[in-house]
Amino acid sequence: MALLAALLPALAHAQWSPQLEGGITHQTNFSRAQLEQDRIADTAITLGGSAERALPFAADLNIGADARLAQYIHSEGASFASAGVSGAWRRKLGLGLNAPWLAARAGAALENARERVRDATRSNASLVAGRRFDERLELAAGFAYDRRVQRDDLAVVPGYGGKPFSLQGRTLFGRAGYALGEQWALLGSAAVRKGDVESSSRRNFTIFSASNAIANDPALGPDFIAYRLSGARTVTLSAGLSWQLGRYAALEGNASRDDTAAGEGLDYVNRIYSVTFVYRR
Amino acid sequence: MSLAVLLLLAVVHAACAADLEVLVQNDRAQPVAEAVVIAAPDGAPPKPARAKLEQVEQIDQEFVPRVKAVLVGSAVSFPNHDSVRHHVYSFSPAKRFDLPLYVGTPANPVVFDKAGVVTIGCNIHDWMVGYIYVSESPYYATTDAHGRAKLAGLPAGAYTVRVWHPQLAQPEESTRRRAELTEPAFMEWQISLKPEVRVRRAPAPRGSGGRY
Repeated sequence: MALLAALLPALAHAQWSPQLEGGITHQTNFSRAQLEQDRIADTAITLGGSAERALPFAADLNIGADARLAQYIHSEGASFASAGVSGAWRRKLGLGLNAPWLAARAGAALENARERVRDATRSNASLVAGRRFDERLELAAGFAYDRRVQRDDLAVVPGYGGKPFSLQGRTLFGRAGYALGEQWALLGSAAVRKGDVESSSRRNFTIFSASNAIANDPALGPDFIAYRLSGARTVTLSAGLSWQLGRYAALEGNASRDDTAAGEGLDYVNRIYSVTFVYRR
Repeated sequence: MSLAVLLLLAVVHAACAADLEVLVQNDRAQPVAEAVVIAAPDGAPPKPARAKLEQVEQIDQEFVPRVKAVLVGSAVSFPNHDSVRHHVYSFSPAKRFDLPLYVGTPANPVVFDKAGVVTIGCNIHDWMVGYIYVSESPYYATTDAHGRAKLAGLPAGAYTVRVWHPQLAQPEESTRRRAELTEPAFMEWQISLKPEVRVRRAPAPRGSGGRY
């Protein structure tokens, strides 16, 4: 951390915009299980660093790299390190504070977890349109695509693929930020995602018959099995508060709720609470 | 012209010039920084002063100084000392201009040829806001962190002195005061300020790495 902190001014001087993040995230249903007895709550300590810079020949285009660590308190096997690259484009459609803007972003990352079944390559792309209505209020809406490809096929059931963590989904979302003053801001978002989800539970015939990929998930327990469910719909509502700490830092708290309906009564809820400290130069 | 005559003229000028010291405070008697104090001579307009080349810099993604007073007709350059590009613009009636994305110093400074307040912004970094007060009078100053400013060397005579600040909650005209300046003088104002509403600069987390 000390080395990273020392590197920040040098990166900033070299036209890179570096950012450090550290936080804590608690999920009430980290296993994303339907049955009460299979739900595992867990808390992760997260640490991340990233840097972005504009391309010299196209000021609207940014490239970036990021690295991230997550350490789960109970499900240690789910702890992971990831490293990725990204590209982003942002353009204001006019001049001034109120001019609408468009942004696109694409990224890919390698994720290495303690348990091999969770090793994956992640990729994502998004297109967002937004507008600031005044100094306080900004609204944005967009579309995102996410894909996660499990590295190894760890089939355990004949006839079923062994990559339950290979997932893809499409999300429509809207978000709002309202500054209460120079220090405080309220944040809110709503999203609907359609696609694959991974749900881990003990042996369960209903989910077994609805899933299309199965593997053991020792990160959550020796008797836990990871199932992939396709065509699931997840509605996420999120609210947060951001506290600006000086010119470069902020502390952000968020509470969100995922409501997932995967058909055949395979529904689950996951509440996620996070507090993140962000520092950017 | 001999040296003696020049010295005599200098002495006479010094005798006729006065310094005006000003203190600007808010409703709670706290010092107000970045207030512009303008002394406009009554009667005949002052002998035209020579407009200068002024600067408003961009440092650490902020305008420095945030409030700059200049004489009408002045040219202002906007050097960008940051490693990121800025796009400086203004929609203010006193001066509309647009300096598309650049680093370093743009080749041509912007000439402010009409008196008034010019609000400047950056089209990339919405939190960047600055103010250029274009004064019709050559006698102006900006208050420091202690709310103090000094207008030095004002020719003796009658003036209307006023104060402007970006958050001034009252009309600028309501701050006008008459002053007869023949010797060093001190004036103070208590002004009402609105709370500042600025776009927040706070960074946001760049994502959790995916939750599915």
